[in-house]
Amino acid sequence: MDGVAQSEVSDRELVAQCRAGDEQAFDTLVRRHQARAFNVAYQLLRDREDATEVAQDAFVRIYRSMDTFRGECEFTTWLHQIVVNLAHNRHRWWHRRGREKMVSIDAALPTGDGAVEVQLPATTPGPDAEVVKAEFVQTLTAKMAALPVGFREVLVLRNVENLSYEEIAVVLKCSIGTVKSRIARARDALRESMQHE
Amino acid sequence: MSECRDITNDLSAFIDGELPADRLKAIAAHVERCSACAAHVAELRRVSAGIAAIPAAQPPPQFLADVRQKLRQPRTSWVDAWFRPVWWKLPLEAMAVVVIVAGVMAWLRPAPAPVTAMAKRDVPAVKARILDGEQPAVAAAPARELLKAAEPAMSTAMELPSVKAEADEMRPAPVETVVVRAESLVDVRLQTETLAKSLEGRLETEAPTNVLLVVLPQSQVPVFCSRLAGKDRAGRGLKPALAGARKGEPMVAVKVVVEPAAAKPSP
Repeated sequence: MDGVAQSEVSDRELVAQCRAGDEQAFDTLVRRHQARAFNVAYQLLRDREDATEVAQDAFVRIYRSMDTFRGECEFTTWLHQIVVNLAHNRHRWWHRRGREKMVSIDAALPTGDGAVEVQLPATTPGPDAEVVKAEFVQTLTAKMAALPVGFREVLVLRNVENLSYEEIAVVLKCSIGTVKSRIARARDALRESMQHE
Repeated sequence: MSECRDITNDLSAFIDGELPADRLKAIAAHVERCSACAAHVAELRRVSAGIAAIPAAQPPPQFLADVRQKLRQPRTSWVDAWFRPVWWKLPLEAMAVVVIVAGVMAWLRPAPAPVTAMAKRDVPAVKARILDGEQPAVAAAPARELLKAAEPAMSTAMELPSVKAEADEMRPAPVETVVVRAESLVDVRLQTETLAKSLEGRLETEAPTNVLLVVLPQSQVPVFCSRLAGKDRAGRGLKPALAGARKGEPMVAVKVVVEPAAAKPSP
């Protein structure tokens, strides 16, 4: 199957092809979802190295347990589930060793090739509203990193990944009511911490 | 205001549209006429939009190649995880097993017989050697051997919580044993207590028994033993200590075994 055709194939079909031994189908799945998996892991861990490892391990786990995927949920839900679990484990691992990964408001974030860039271009001239928004997002990013990981999970899944409450409940293996109250508390916590700025 | 309290918890779900239609409609109507709730909703929307605007991080270019590399690596079995590398994991695990087994065995081991009972059992033999042939009543050397033999049992007993009370009674270990022949146990007890007090010691045994434990300064032990034995042999009264104990001197225990006086042979 050529590349163009692969890009049009649904996730379910690619999973079926993987099960049949098609290595290319798995590569397509990885290429299609690597950015999503990496970004979720990164938003939860705020560390490129850890996020890369977690996202890669998630695909390795998917490859090795492809036969157990029953198709009861979307492939992306399954992927989210694994990424969130692994990120949670990694976070606990650091927490037990007394190393909380925190990002300060002024911290520059390292990029993939080792260079360091300021995440938001506040130096570029622009309308006041844009600058304010950029500063707001930068502050919000730091405040997000200071939230408990349980709050970060629901906010990332809802506002970054645009998952519905039902999908989040499947990913986190909890009830929709729990998701609803956790999102409300997480947003209130974030709102209050932003008010202190 | 009570309406505000009712809907506050639902405002987050309201901005996500994750509520039943009638509830959404009711909250929308309330927010239109309540400035406080409208401000709350605006803040929640701003925060949500801010989260969505956080720039997405991009994975490294070699992401797929690294995944493929990881897939080529053999899976780590539980045997590998637990035992490899063998050179340092196996000795460590063996040591841990030994420690655990020793701990369990020590815990399950029955409490040894109290040393006082052991001493009682063996004392008649010692006494027989002392009393035969008008030997001095102070059975220092044999008693030392006897107590030495009993020491391991005592130390074990002291380590086990179940026999702690008994261990407390036994502490400190007697260094000497005096055998006294008398007709009245009560008299010997009173005399022993008085003598012990005069030598800055004390009688430890409260129960009415023929084995008394006395604790006194180490330097006073010979005086105590000779005077108690002398009283028995010559029927003399007790004398006060010749010299007082030194300050901070270690306290030691002396065991006094009271033996019924032998009946006088009829003429």
